[in-house]
Formats: sequence, C-alpha cells, structure tokens
Amino acid sequence: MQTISLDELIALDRLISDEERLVREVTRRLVAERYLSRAGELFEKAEFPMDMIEAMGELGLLGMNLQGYGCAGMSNVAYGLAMEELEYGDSGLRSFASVQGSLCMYPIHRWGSEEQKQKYLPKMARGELVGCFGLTEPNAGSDPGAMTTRAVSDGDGYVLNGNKMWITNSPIADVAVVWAKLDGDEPSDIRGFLVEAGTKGYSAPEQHHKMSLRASRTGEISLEDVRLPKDAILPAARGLGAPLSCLNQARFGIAFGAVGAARACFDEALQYAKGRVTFGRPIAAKQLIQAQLADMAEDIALSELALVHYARLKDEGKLSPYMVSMMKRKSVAMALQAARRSRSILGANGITVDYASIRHAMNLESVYTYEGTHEVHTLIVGRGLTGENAF
Amino acid sequence: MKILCCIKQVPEKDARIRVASDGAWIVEEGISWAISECDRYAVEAALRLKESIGGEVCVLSVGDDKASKGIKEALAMGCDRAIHVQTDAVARADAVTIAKVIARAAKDEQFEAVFCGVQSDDLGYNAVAPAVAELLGARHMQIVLSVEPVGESALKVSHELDNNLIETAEISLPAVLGVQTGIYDVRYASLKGIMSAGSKPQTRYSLEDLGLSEAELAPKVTIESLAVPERTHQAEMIEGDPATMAHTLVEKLKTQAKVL
Ligand SMILES: Cc1cc2nc3c(=O)[nH]c(=O)nc-3n(C[C@H](O)[C@H](O)[C@H](O)COP(=O)(O)OP(=O)(O)OC[C@H]3O[C@@H](n4cnc5c(N)ncnc54)[C@H](O)[C@@H]3O)c2cc1C
Repeated sequence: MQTISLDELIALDRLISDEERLVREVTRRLVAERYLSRAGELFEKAEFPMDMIEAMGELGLLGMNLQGYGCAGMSNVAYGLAMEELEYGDSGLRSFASVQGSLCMYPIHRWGSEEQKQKYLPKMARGELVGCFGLTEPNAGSDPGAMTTRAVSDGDGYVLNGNKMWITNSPIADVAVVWAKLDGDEPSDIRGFLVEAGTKGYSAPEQHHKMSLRASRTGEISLEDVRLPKDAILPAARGLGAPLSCLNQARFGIAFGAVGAARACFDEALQYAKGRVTFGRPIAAKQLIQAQLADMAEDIALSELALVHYARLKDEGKLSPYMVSMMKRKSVAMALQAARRSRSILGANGITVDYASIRHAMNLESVYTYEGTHEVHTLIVGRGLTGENAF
Repeated sequence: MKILCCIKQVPEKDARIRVASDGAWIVEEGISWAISECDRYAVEAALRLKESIGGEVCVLSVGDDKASKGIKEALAMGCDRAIHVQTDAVARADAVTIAKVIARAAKDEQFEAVFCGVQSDDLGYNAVAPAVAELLGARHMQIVLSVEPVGESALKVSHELDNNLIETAEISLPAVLGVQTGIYDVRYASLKGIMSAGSKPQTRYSLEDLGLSEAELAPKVTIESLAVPERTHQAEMIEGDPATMAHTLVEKLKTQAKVL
C-alpha cells in the first residue's frame, strides 16, 4: 500500500530555503539526540535540563532572529521552525528559548543602550547569562496595565517595589527584565528595568506544584526597595506597548512551537495505532481512529503552511499584531486538541509519562494561558474585526 | 594539512522506502535526504584533525541537488570549501565507479589526508575508500576509530580488524581513511555556520569537465532488483527459569542467529 507521511502531506521543503531547512534539521537532531529520551523523566521530576542552555547557545538558537551582538540573524521562518522542533521535545524547552530570545534579548536589542547591548546580548546568545521577563503580577495577568509594581526616581537612580508571579526562568535567571510604573500610575508610565540577580532586595523564589510545564522553572520576583543605578533602565522602552511588543515576538514563536507539540503527539498516535490490536486488527484500521488521525494531520498541515506565510510577512515587517493573535490562538488550540486526541488513541498508556501525549497535553494548558490567554486573543481579533472593545 | 572528506546523501533513517516501478531502484520522490551516518563521522574526523594541526578541510560530494544540500551542511559544520561533481548519472553506480569520479576530482589537489565514511547507509558497499586510495596511490585503513597527527607527514590511526582486534599504527601520507560511526560526538552545524556556508568557495565539475569517458564510467555492478524484506512471523517464546532462559537464548544466538 502506498502511504504518505505527514511531512510529505505538508511538503514544506518547497517553501523554505536550504538554510531554513538546515536549521530545522540541526534543531531536530539536537532534540532527538539530547532531549527526547529523558523528556518524560524531566517532566516527572520537574527538572529543567541546564545542559540544554549551553547546547542551545552553541547552536545559536537563543535570540537567533536578532541581528548582530553575537546573534545568528536568521529569518523568522528559521526561528519559527526551530521553536517548532524544540517544542516537539517539550514546551518547557521551547519556553526557555522564547523567554531568553523574544522576551529578554529582544527588548534589550530594541530599546537598550549600546552599553546594555554589549554587556548582555553576546552572553545571552551563548547561554552564559539567563534572562527572565517579569510582567505578570498576582493581581494583574491579562490586564498588565493594572500592575502595581512601582519605580521611583531617587537621586542618581531608581527604587523598585512590587511582586511578580509566574515568571518563567526567574529562579535561574542572572538578569530580569522587570516592568514597573515609573513615577506615576498610568499604563503609559510603564518602563523596563534590567535587574541583576544578587541585587539587594531582589529575590526569585520558585513556584512549585505545577502540573504543567514541569520541565521549566517558574518563580516569583520579589522587589523590596531594590535600588538600581540610572543605567538599569531600558532608555527607549516607554509605556505598556513595549512589553506587549515583546509578547508579540514570543507569541509568534509559540504559534510555531505548538505545531511541534502537535506533531509529536501525531507521530506517537500514528505509531501506536499501527501496533495496537483490538478485535483482531490494528486500531489504525478502524474508521474512528483514522478520522482522528486525519483530523490531526489536516490541522497540523494547514497550521504549518499558514504560519510560514505569516513568518514571511514578519520578515518583510508586514505582520500585524492581529495576525499574531490569530496565529497563537489557533495554533495552541489546535495543538491542545491534537494532544488530547492522541492521548485518547493511546488508551490507558496515554495517561503515563512513558508516552509524550499527556505531557504535551498538560504543557499546552500553560501555553493556552500564557502570552495572552486564548480568550484575550479572541478579544483582540474580535476588536480588530468589529472595531468594538470587548475587554 | 590539506584534508578532504567525502560525503554522500542517502535517504533519511526513518524514510519510508518504496521500490520503483522498474524494480531496480527506489522512488526518490518525497524522500528526505541526509548525509550518510558514517560520512558525518568522516567530516568530524577531518575537522578535528584540522583543528589539531591546522590547514583546511575540503568537502567533496558527487551527485545532483541532493548532494549540494549535504555540501552546505558540511560547510556549515566547519569545512572550508567544497568540490561538487554535479551529475545525476551515478546515483546507482557501484563503488569503483564513484571512486573513479572522486579520485579524478581530487587528483590535482594533492590532498594529504582523505576521510570517507567506512560505508554508506544505503548501498553499504564498504569499498569506496579503498578504491579511492588505490586510484590516488595513497595508503589506506578501513574501520578507523581514532586519528592523531604525527608531525606533518604521518597519522597515528587505530582501526578495527577481524575478531575484535584493534590495531594502532602509523600511516604515512597521503592516506585515505574509512571512518567508523559512533567514535565521536559529531558536532551540529551552528546557525552562524549555516549563515556563512553560502559564501564559502565551491568548485563545481561536470563529468565532462573531469574528462571521464563513458567506458570508464560503465558500471561493474548493476542492480537487477530490489525488494523489501518479507515480514515473517517467527517469534518463539523461550520458557523456563531465568538461568535456563538465558542459557537457551545464548545458544540460539550462537547456533541459529550466528550473531555471537
Ligand atoms: C507556566 C507559566 C509561565 C509563565 N511565564 C510568564 C513569564 O515568564 N512572564 C510573565 O510576565 N508572565 C508569565 N506567565 C503569566 C501569564 O502570562 C498569565 O498567567 C496570563 O497572562 C493570564 O493571567 P492570569 O493568570 O492572571 O489570568 P487572568 O487574567 O486572571 O484570567 C483568568 C481568566 O479570565 C479570562 N479573562 C481575563 N480577562 C478577560 C476578559 N476581559 N474577557 C473575558 N475573559 C477574560 C482569561 O482568559 C482567563 O481564562 C506565565 C504563566 C504560566 C502558567
């Protein structure tokens, strides 16, 4: 019987350059050789593999779509494909790269002073310095304009007070990009500060008991009279728009990443279905299972093809935030559904971390919520279509 | 040191192979191709030798567009330049024919160390490296496990012999080495390497450029038919206590499977 693989169905190679294909291949190999065999164990033990930071840095995956300062300067298609391959491994691995590249290096690259760029970017690209991005607070998630973290000008610097929560990598970060309202109470007063771990009054305790993104470190950031020098502020980042445009960078990569998680689930479901026999035949030969596999393959293929189109628009500087919201919303919801389908095809085996599907399904619950919840993106697209603000 | 490494593109490990309608080749359409596993180690060995003693690594591949993808990856891994013999006429060629093309393309360059994979993942002839050595008048070792420079004119090489024997010997240059898999952590192409690969020099030859006549390229071996191994259901449950089961298994591996 002549069969067709998911890759053949997508036929992506026609749309991407040799360089982009190579980036996908080396990232795929890195994940296959250095991550997949321990993905379940890391998830179960709630450990982030610190050795992967150096490995990703050596390859150049951190901040890879930025130009100069030790960054690889790749296309956004290459960036998206790399995020997809990382998340094929685990959403935690991709989250690390998203936070480091899009949420920390990007704002320094875009709004930082020359000194800040020189000081942080090359080391962050190599993975020698780890960053985190502190926007969310205990009482301000979807509505970051309501944040209460304050910065006050004080002589030759600033004093910061407040609490951040759900901050990816904060327990292992060397430098935190902290967003706070400076000398005012309006969203337009929001400014970004680079706070180094070890600064007096700064701490980043770990948040435990997560049932999702377990192979990723999440923590709080507590700021108690943290005194910062004048050059700790990102000079050109002003107002809520600044952190939101970081999020747009990361969301773009997340949309690709989610496709990677979906692919991992599809591959697992297909293989399992071929081997699992019930009522005398493999479940792959049952119509109900085939319908699920066909749905998954179709969803993954169409998502991937659309994402490459949007990535090209991003390379041309023509990607609108509405498109990014749509990409993130659709892609993550698709992946979550694929993970649940695959989990179900695996029967009871599907509930153990010996298989990837439940891990991806649980991880994707976080991905559904962070970087703008599914509902928030619905409201953004809805606002764009109708001109009515429904927040 | 002037170092050459030879690479071949083969169907990726998990590629689903279908026999073509002529029954003597595979359907190439839709397959992803990758550098053959042993050849990756050959590239790594070449780069390590250069890093320890200096010089340059040139990568060579014979083939169509698929080969140029492999070349790009090898350049991205750190090779300095490339020779691409562009042809789709040798896809099914036997080892000696390929070796003739390689030797002709490499002849004028006076490479001192030539690395090949010990065999390719697809045809597995295990013969290109010795044939290249013969044609270049160079010394040769197969199933190479480690390589160290000894001054400028020799290499200290360990390689596998039959019966699990490992020989370590000095080999004077020029030499052709067939590299075994699994002997190193092979480096990944870095993203910066990928970005700079496109600007590294590539020499392209056609078979005509190399002046190889049709007679020289006439195959010594032709593939008459290919078949997918038949699935046979021959599972056998070994019974008894653990010691008996282990004993029976070892006996079977020795006498029936003949792998021990
Ligand atoms: C694992 C993990 C890692 C994270 N990493 C980071 C990080 O690195 N940095 C960082 O700053 N943050 C991070 N976050 C925080 C994340 O961005 C927030 O959790 C998210 O923005 C949602 O905020 P919230 O949890 O306060 O939910 P809320 O804003 O309280 O929302 C609760 C529910 O109400 C819905 N809702 C909210 N507003 C509306 C509305 N107007 N209309 C309809 N429905 C609405 C939401 O969609 C959601 O379903 C992380 C979160 C997780 C889980």
